[in-house]
Amino acid sequence: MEQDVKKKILVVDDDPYILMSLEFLMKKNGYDVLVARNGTEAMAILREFLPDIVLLDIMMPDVNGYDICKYIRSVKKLDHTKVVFLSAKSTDADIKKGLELGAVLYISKPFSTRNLMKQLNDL
Amino acid sequence: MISKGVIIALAIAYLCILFLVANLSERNKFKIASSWIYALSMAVYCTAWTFFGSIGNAAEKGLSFLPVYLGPTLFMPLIAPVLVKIIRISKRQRITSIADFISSRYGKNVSLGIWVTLFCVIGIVPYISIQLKAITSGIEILTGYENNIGWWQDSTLYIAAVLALFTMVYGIRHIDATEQHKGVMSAIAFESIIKLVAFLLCGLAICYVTFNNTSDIFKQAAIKNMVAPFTTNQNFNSWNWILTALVSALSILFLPRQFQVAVVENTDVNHVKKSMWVFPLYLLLINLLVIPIALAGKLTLQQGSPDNYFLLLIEQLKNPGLSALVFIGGFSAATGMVIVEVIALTTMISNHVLAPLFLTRSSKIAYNAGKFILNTRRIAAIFLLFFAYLFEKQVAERYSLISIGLISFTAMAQLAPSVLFGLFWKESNRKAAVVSILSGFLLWFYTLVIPSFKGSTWIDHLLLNGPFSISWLKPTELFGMNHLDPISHGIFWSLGINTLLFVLISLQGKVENSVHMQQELFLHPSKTKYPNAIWNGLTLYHDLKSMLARFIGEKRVELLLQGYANRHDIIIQEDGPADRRMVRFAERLLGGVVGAASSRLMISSVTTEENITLTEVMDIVKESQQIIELNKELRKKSIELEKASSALSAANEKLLHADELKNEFLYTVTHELRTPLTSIRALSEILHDNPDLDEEQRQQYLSIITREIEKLSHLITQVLNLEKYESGRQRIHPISFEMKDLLQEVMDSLYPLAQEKNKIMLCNLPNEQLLIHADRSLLVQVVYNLVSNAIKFAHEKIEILIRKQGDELEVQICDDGPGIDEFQKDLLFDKFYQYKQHHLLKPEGSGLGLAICRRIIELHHGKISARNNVTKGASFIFVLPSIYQE
Repeated sequence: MEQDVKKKILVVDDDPYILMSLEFLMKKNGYDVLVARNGTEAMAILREFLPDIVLLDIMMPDVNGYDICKYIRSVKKLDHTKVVFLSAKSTDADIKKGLELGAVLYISKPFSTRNLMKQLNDL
Repeated sequence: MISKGVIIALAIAYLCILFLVANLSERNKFKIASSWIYALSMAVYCTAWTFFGSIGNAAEKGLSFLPVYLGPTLFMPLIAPVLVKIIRISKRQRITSIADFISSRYGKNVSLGIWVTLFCVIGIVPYISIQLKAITSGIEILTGYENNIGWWQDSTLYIAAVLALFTMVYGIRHIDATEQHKGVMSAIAFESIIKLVAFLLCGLAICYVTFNNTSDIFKQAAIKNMVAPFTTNQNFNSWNWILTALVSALSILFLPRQFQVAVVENTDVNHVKKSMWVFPLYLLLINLLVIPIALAGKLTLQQGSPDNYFLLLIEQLKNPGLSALVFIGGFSAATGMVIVEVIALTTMISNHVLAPLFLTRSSKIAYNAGKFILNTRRIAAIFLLFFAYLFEKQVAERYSLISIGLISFTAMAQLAPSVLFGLFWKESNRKAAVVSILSGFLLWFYTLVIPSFKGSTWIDHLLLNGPFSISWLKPTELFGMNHLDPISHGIFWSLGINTLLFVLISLQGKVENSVHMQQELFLHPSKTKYPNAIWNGLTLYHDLKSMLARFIGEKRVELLLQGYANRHDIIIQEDGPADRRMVRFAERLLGGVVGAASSRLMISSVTTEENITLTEVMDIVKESQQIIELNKELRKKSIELEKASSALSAANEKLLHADELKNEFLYTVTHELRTPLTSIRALSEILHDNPDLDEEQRQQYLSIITREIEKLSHLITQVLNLEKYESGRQRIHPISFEMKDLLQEVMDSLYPLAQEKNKIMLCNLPNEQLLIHADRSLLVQVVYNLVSNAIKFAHEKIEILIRKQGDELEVQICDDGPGIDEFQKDLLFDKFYQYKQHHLLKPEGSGLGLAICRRIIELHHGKISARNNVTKGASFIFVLPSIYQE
């Protein structure tokens, strides 16, 4: 990481193992990382943490990723926050919808970790 | 006393009104329901005989005038269905008269038609003559007798002439006799009303003007001992009554005029319904005042024929209006009968006697054949009325109205066996019809006509001693039968022997080929279709057309034939042979003009016909049967097809729905597959890219990978299983086994899991045997799923219960966990439901377990459900029939 200040990243996913591996990857790549196991948790963290990037799963039991994205885009304090969808929903329609909601990236599961990191670093 | 001139003027004015009614009705100026016209025209049954004769008869013999009206009334429930059947047949066959009906039934036989026509004429002309007599009497009584007048001054002659004219103008105008006489029928219905109103008004006038009221008449009559004939049964002979009533009932169908109004002029079979009550009601009304009037006549009149009582009584009142009314009433009764009867008879004469004589030699008739037929009918009408006139002058004077009427009735009743058996009995054959009709008429003539000529020495001798002095052959006491009155005696022998012979000959004889053809059409008119081919020969279309054109005109023939061809997909070859159906159609068409028998003769004159052999007839019959059968089959098929197509659209809808479900399923499955794949890939890449990971972390990641792979393969197996159960490819292999053993086995295998999670499994198995016949391995899956679910959600305790309920086994698996949301109970068994509702912790499992359980239980025709326990936790219950049935 060239910057002195660590980029803050929030990872939201309901699958514990995916969450575990993403947490590991982000830490290793020098991000300041927090994880949320569902939408409610994520919303709670967002206001305090004010992350630069949110890695967002879509299909979650309580609040789905689309709604979280909408919420982020509606909060002034989170203007700088970039949303990256990370979802098993991978039809063209899904992707289009995600990007229309204001996400900067839409990555289909399963993903390549190296690609993911490269794309995140380029943001 | 009114002058003769006034009476004649009245008669002519009345006829003019009839012309007017007929004319207006033909031009549809009336809006009277045709069912009323039909019902009222049936009352043409009531002639001058009713109007004057009933009173005469009642005055002379008491109640014996009644059976003539009781018969039709009592038999109406039987007459109506027979009438409906006859109407149906006649419509299809274009029957034009009773003679046509009989000749058609028995193979369109020409001679039979001639015989029937002849007998109708002989039987009916005297009847027409008594109508003329009634009119004449009316004129004489109301205007005073004049002796020794010249024939040119005889009003009867003019009456006859005017009636002939009316009949010719309105009754004989069309060439197709089945085209009905709407105008005439309206006039007849009109006359029925006039005669009823006239009778009732004049009757009331006698009861309330001449006398104080009806009871006054009865009181006076009782004093003079005149009521006895109406109250005692000293002269009552039940056989006389029964036979007279029977013959009268038959007359409703078989008198040519009744056949004309009831069958030929019928425009709608349903009209019969109304006539069923209107006609008997009419008979009741017109008889209501007969007895009081008869008694009034006996009380006040010392002389004169009882048949004239009505006229004489009215004449006594010296009221010109009433005199005119009673005359018009009787006149209308007489004219109605004469007009219809003459129409019917002339149709018969021209179709059955004249047409076969002249028309078969077709080349000799150069001019329009249709016109020829019309003219023969007109001439016949003139002849008929002329004969009736002569008969009236020479013979009728001597007889009462009612006896001649009944003799006519009896003559027509001779047709009954041939018609009625022909309608219902398939053994009826032509020979039987001919013999029975001939024998009936001969006996009728012998027992009823000959005795009516008494007065001549020769006949008196015959009546007294029998022919050649053989006493048991006496015309009025055949075989010594002397307890009936002469008319009933005649009815008994003529109709009895007639019927007997018909049955005997039919039983012995064979049904003729040509009769076979018609038989079906008469026995089952609604079922039978015209056989395709009845003409087994070659008819050139051109010949057929030009022959038809002679009768119904070039243009109309062209139209009719073309229409028929279009309707039946027949290709017309102008110069080629005519289609057999076309020939058949032509025959029917022509039948409407000249009658069936003549039509057949004429068609055969243009056909090089081969004789039809019995086997060919059988073939035709068989063929038509096959066609009927084929039709039935087709109809069945088309109904099936309809069902199938609606089932198909339903299935299609289901499919669409299923397709949606399938898409949703696939979507979810892929998601479920991608999730473990994602973690597997991510973790393996981390392992690969980070060789410096410490051993513990490495081990953790690897074990996660292994578990995720297991989850994947479990999911794949379950998806495949579910697919198998849902597609119906899963075969059930039922065996008989003890359900308790199965439960025990599952609990044993899950024991380690329960222990690991610190949960207790309780099971209270009853002592009784719980045998079940089902697929054991599938049920193991169900129980395993449910119990492992319970272990997953239980707080500390799982309880398994089983019990037998009649033919069913109920297994209940309870836990003490968080329970189920009430509204989600039914969704639990949906595929991947778990996914939609899981909470913070992701429970292990594919989300397909309960869906699979439900499917398996359903395959066994059982039921599965979930509910919350009263205390705590949830229960899953499934019920299975003890014995699995396919």
